[in-house]
Amino acid sequence: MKYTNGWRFTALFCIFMLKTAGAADQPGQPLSVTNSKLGVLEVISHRMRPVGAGIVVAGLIGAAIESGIESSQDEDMKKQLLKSFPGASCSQPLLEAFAARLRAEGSFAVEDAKGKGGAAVDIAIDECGLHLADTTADQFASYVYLTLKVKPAGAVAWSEKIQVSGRNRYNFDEFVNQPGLAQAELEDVLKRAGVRAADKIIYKK
Amino acid sequence: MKTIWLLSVVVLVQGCAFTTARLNIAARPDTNFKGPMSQVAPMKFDIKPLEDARSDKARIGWKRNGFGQNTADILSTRPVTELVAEGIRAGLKQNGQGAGIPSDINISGSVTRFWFEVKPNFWTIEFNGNVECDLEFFSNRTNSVIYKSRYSGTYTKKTGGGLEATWTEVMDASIEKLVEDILFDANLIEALNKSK
Repeated sequence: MKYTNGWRFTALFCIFMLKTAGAADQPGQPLSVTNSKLGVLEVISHRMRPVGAGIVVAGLIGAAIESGIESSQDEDMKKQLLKSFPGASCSQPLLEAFAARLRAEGSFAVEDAKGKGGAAVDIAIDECGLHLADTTADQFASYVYLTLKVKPAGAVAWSEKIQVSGRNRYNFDEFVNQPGLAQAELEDVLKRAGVRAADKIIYKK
Repeated sequence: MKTIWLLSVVVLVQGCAFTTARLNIAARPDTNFKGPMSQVAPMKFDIKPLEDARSDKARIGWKRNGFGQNTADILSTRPVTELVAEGIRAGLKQNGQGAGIPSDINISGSVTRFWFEVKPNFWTIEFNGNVECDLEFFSNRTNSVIYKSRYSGTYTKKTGGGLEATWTEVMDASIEKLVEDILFDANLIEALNKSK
């Protein structure tokens, strides 16, 4: 999967069809699932640091310029990360965990997005990746930001932002050089976010 | 004219840059924390006083002037350890769990981060809140630590500007995200179920 800005233009309503084994046997109410944003992999390092030299030199305009430079530095780090983890996906582990949790709980029968008459949920994954979690030790953690939009059958629609961070901290070089580390940390946070999103629906008051 | 405009933006973003800001942070009472913790058979939890293990204990953030220099502290009106404990207590209560002594589970640990940061972008201002803690869950029945983990609550808001009300809202939400991270932790729930 290539991490371009493609979703900005094309994936605004990308329908994710969850093929769940045995879904037809589930007793729960039908729930159609869409994934309107696939998520963009990011590395947030310089963007997390306090404003610095640019703003000293040229005030807020300098800050804006510095912000642009920082984004560019983060972009370089992202390229480095993707070299060690080219198959990175923000959506797949999250959506699989989401569907598995709903299936295990049994209140909802997850069906494809064309189902009508039941509840509907859209998961918009804004971004995922690594962010600078400890500025003092210069250590990173995985993270994901998503928006959950739910339209229950015959009830008021609601939405919620879910932001989940990884539990472990590593230096960026460790993520790049240690085989499988970035993948394991990212998948862990995505799965936890998927389960969290499902639980939000299951336990909504 | 340009100077006035710049000053207005700075004031809008940071308030008066030279006066200490004191934020009345608290997990909002109407926040819905209900989750899988409600499926755990009711227990009594005792939250021991948390340690303040932040690298900067003097403040929760910096106010900065238009040149990026730190000019004044951003403080919490209440100890951050109390805010976190209060949030956990409220979350447990919403999930049908009790508090008090004698307890089934003692919760102890430390708040390692409680920080508010402002980042100006080209068109927007980004407000970031981050609250982290390390928690240990001790079962009085088995007389052992049944689980320990790091938890994190992050909340980001991008707007055209914001004053203390926005900063407070961001930190309130960060505590809520932290509490949610604890209460929705499947491994913790499994450990609690096993400890019965």
